[in-house]
Amino acid sequence: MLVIGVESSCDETAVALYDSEQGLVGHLVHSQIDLHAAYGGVVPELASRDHIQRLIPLLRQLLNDSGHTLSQIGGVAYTSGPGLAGALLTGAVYARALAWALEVPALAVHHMEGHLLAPMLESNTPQPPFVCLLVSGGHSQLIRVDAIGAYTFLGDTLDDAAGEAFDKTAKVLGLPYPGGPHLSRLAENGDATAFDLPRPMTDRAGLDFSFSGLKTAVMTTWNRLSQQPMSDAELDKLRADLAASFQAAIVDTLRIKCERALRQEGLDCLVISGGVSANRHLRTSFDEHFSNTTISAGSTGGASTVDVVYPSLEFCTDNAAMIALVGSLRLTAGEQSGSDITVRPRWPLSELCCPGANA
Amino acid sequence: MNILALETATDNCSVAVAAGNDWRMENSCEPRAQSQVLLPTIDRLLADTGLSKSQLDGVAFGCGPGSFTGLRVAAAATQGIALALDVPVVGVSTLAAVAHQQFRTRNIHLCIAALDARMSEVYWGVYQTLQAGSTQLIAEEAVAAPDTVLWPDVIDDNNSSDVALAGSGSDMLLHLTGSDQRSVVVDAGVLPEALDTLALALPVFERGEAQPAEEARPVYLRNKVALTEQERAAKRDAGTVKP
Repeated sequence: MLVIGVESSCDETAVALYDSEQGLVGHLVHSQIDLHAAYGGVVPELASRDHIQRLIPLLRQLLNDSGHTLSQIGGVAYTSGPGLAGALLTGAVYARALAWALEVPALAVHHMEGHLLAPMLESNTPQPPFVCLLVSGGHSQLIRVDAIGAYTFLGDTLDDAAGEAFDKTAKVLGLPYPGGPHLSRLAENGDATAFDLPRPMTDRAGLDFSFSGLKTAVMTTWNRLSQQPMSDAELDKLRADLAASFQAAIVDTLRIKCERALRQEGLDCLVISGGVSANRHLRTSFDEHFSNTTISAGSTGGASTVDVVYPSLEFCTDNAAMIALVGSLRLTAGEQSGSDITVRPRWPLSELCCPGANA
Repeated sequence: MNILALETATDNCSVAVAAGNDWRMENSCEPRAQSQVLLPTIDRLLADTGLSKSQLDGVAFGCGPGSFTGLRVAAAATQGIALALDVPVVGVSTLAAVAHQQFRTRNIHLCIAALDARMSEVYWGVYQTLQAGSTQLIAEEAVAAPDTVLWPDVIDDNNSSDVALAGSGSDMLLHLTGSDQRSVVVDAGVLPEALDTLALALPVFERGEAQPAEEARPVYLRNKVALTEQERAAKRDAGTVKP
């Protein structure tokens, strides 16, 4: 079955074609970063206005590039949550109406399940059970995956998501929008040991995160030190050192909680997905640490090192390939969504069922 | 021609289907439920008229102004349907549809159509309908503060008796009544309906002037929806916005 995927939950418009037999045929992403830059953040109404101008041109281009026609389409999958209500609705109504008119089944997809299963777009497919860390601008969640659709929440952020903390801290340091990637680049030139920032909530039991205090710690330090007389070069160094120290604190915190989750669950496979999983320091740090970490996993009780799996960079950030993939898995299991279109800006992942359970 | 028409700029989710001369319409006025009822409503109307989807020759949609979200429901559905069926689209002003409705239901030729634009503003325009399917804009469509809206001189140039002031924004323009010798009939409760969208789109389809699916885009009229960081800073400096 050839499945169209449509993603419009935030500031990326994306379409994809996924073949249930052959895998991903192609995908395209239009990022709205430039549109929102002048506003210092995503303006939901502008995001929706842009989505509706991009959806058809992107799909036409994808069909053209891949040599396919709409008559070959067997299903349409679209993100119906979580995300910005207006942005979601634009893509959902378009995609559901497209499926309705093509007279093919449609499926409303959970955006985070897309991120969670994104590694399956490639050959390094992890086998459940595993622990997944979902880290993006909107989420910082630890999830136990026993099967596709069988998700147990292990931990969540109590305030800011990790990516949000990156963006807000970048703003504190005067970096342009979107701050996260700018901050990471700056951190490469900084000394991560220059400032001893907290590793929030690692000194107590549990798998929840809290990152807003870390952002405040950076702000306090920055406001105190940047007021002192210093040369431009010294100010640049201060900024880079703070960025590096902040990034190290976030990554350490995420890594400590991931290890705690693996030990608690007795699992030796960790999947990291979502926009923040593209962070280079995160990947280096996790790889170094977990290649030397053994966990007692499985019924045999034998100790093994931890497999850490990331999607490739293009599938870390928002895309429609992951939506088409989930759509394909669930549509071929007989699931479909009705023609009464609803979006769910808030939608707990734990409400999902295994593919076909609701068919 | 067989045409599907969608009008969802207000709480009214209005769908009309023309199967040749057999025109039917269904309205449902349930706030924030448009996306849920839209496709099932189309299914019912197609069944009633005996049309299959593939027999449709085009999709007309109310392009606004109105609720931003509502406009995108109609435009996005129009895009999906027209793309799949490979048929063209025609956008029809929601204000013009309100004016055409005054002609269709009350035989009033001149209409000041006004929709509540929130933020203490009104979307409005002045229209003349001399015959069914032909509503002309005779004064520019705009979004404005109600007290800046003056009696449109263009109406006095026209030789017609009644003028309708129609739509949810009528209450904001009541100062236009009574100031003139003309009789102004106020209809604040009226909602735009897809039958008028259909009537106004049909001649465009017949003239071959319909557009490809991707041109199904809302006309918001209100185009400034957020302040840039620079503008916010300027306002802060001017003391009009608290940091």
